[in-house]
Amino acid sequence: MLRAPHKRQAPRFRSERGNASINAGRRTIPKAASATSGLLIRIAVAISIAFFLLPLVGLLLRTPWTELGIELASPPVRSALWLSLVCSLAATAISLLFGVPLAWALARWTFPGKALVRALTTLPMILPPVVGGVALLLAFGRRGFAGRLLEQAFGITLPFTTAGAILAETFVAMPFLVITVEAGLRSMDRRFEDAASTLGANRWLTFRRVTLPLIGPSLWAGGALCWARAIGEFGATITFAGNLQGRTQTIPLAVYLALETRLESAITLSVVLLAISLTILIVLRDRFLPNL
Amino acid sequence: MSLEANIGLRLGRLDLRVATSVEAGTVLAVLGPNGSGKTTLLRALAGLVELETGRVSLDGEVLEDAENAVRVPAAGRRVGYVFQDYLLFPHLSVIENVAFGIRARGTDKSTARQAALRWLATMGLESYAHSKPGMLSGGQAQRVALARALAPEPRLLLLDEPLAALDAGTKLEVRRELSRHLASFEGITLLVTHNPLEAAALAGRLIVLEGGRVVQEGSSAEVARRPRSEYVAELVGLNLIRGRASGDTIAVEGGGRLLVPATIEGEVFAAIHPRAVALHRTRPESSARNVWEGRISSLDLEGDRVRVSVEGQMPMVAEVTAHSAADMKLAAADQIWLSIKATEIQVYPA
Repeated sequence: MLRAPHKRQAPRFRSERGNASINAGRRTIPKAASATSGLLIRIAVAISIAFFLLPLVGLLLRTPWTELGIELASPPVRSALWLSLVCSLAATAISLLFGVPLAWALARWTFPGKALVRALTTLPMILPPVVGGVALLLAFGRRGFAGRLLEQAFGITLPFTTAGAILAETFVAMPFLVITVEAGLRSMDRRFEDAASTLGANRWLTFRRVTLPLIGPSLWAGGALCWARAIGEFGATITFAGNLQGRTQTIPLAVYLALETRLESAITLSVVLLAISLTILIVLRDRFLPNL
Repeated sequence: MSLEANIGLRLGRLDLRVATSVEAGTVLAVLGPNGSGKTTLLRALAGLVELETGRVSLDGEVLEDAENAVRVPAAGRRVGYVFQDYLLFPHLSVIENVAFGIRARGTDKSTARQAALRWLATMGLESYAHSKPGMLSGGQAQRVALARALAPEPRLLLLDEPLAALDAGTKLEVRRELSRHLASFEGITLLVTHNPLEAAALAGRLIVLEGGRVVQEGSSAEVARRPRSEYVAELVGLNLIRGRASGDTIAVEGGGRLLVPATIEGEVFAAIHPRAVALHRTRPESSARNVWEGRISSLDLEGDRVRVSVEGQMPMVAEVTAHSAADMKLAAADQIWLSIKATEIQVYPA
């Protein structure tokens, strides 16, 4: 069937709201102006995509793929990998141990100063990590009030030790776990807990057999986010724990050092971190990329 | 064995005051509109919300006594609860769901599973033992929820609209089966519903809750025959009129008068079946003693009958055959004459 010749030709691209110039009664934009603004948006989008893509391309182009195995086996790289694994897993474990009860309190309890506690918990997510490191140093350093107490009472010193690196990572990473688990607890149907209690389950059994499995997805997501943040931690760690190979030199710190000494190592470790990030993105794709 | 409950609590806009006692082996239906406090009553009995005033005792054991600060937590009450949407644990298999309550009361795993399997067999669901609840149909999920609630051998069983989540097709069959299981349950059952047919089919006695108060209590048949509130009258399909009787005349609240067969004094209810209300185009010359004029507000076809709502001094629903409605050319906004024979009116004290 032939179309009437006076019919408006369908534009090749349309904004979501349709063609602005035919929205009668509203502010009308001349067609030419509308086409220009569409073009500008497209250019901005292209620049943004390039901006995110080019660094990755740069990294992958320079990766010594054939020597990757040798690089990974070199002692400083290996020790950084191992240390990162240990520290980040320990930080995640500590975050789970303390973060889940904290999330519970924030989700379920009402107590004075709750808003303040939540702000305090969330602060490390926004605080520049280096400030966190300085703050940790002033509190838990050998001359900090808490650090002195720890040393006198238990003979524990944290700065420039692996424990210190774990502490720094926990400080910046735990908020991710807390807010994710809190959201999970909030969105859960609490009547499942009612059902469990009418079946004779005490609070602990209810928590273990009903609540925990039901918030499982949030727990996984929170744990993964927390781990990802911990393994990438740089600022607080280098400030509080220093950059000592085998003790506090995690992958990001090793990358920073290797940039000046051995570029291939820096690239290799960067690729490892990139792979970890991609893996987490894929694992948590339902959360971040629901349409993929 | 009996349940003695005197419950007082406020929750949001609800102010619940209910006192009732139920004997063992009885099924008590709790009927009421949304927001009347039916579910809250069950939750209070189960220990899921705290009483502000009053006392609950089961078989002589005090479960809660607000005045003396006694409160057995939900987990210690031996009360079975079937939730409206069943709330089967989605991460556990059917048999684990049913075994949950038995396990929680300290039975070892294999004994609990055997008992759970027996319950599933009673419900005809053994073959679903290892399925996840998400795989079940509505009727099956309801039976699993019932098995889960009964498995720990409660003394009090609470059912919150057990048939509401089912489609009309399966409702009847599930209701029949539920009735069979309730008959073999030796404890006390409280069943929340807003369907009077369901209440009559499953329960011997019922209480009607409105605005947190018991407005009527009695056998299903009695409540259906002599409603004491607009809500119940509408549910059972009767016209309900309240007024002050003197001799054989009722001065109706809101105006108008009704002549009734009996002589009675004081505040009364008058229940009139819609079929007893006759409609006429012109003022009838019949023997009916109650005649007045009104205006049709709506017509609803129900099967081969038409329910005609008439507004006026005494709003009334009349039921005529579709045939005569067509003959009379009834239409909304028409002026119409109504007549009721005095002998068709049920009068009882308010």
